[in-house]
Amino acid sequence: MLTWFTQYKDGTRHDYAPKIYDISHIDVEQLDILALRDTNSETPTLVIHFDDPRKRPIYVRRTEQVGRRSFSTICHIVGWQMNVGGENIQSISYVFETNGRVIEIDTGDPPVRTAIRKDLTWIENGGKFDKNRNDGWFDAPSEKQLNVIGSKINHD
Amino acid sequence: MVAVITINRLTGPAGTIVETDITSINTRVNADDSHSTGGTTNPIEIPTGADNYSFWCTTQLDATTAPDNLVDNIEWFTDGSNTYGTGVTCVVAKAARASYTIASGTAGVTGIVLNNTNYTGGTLTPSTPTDAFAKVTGSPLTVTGSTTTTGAFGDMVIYQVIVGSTANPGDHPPSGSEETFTWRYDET
Repeated sequence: MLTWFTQYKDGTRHDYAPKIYDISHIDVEQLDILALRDTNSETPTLVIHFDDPRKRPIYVRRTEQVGRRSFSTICHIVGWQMNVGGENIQSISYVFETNGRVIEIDTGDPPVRTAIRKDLTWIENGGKFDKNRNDGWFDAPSEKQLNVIGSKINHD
Repeated sequence: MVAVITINRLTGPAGTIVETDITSINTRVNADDSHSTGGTTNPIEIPTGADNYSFWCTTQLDATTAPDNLVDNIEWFTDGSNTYGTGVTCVVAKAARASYTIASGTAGVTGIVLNNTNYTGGTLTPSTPTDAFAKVTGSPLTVTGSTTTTGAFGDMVIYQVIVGSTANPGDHPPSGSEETFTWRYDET
């Protein structure tokens, strides 16, 4: 399962902590990196660098719960946007993970079918949010949701 | 805390709604107002003439753990392919929770049709429910609502299976397969 942490320009690290340090608590002006990592690993899965003061962070967690399916699919929508010459430029990474996916494998001799948890993670990257891609994963979040991290969409 | 969101099926009278968590399991849409994963007591009767209907099925999201900030952008959709089998279709609409109307009809035969006349508790959107399989990931049913706390939230999604005279008799599902419906939402 993925979680996130930030590093500020002064080198301090701040890990997600419910109600103590969540997305709304990020000091956008001090943000140097926003990173995703698995809760069981210190190695980041994705690191976004805020190396231009115009970059405003984006983070929203999008979940699909598919009816009878035993696991959900979560997409961490993370990236940045900035205004360049009046144009809103975005770079968005879509970090997908399954939560609770179970598969069966053969174990032992003679082999016995055994259920094990086997979650998956994969990353896609794109530019602007794009409803025309006809896939809901790439639709823009609501402005209210983006405002939680202090990043408004410029509809230019 | 990351929110914990369940999918509930709502049954019973408006004053004492029964909310059953159907996340990750199936729910039978029969000709009765109850949840079961395999009930065969009240199937929808195949008509000789005009269509018969399931009792409508009412579903809604519920936050058992509140989000840190906000859950919104709720959507509902299908895989776009009706595999129920010959003569079986499904329509869908949404309504505010305050509009909840118990599903009714003749148990084991047919429900009453899902429309604004029969949905007496309030207004359906759209007023004439539309083909559920036209609601897909890129063009979903947009579900009004959001939450910052625990409890049921957002509009209810109400769907109804329609059985025509060309449907095939037999055990569920008649000649096709079960359908899977998907909820999607954003969270911070």
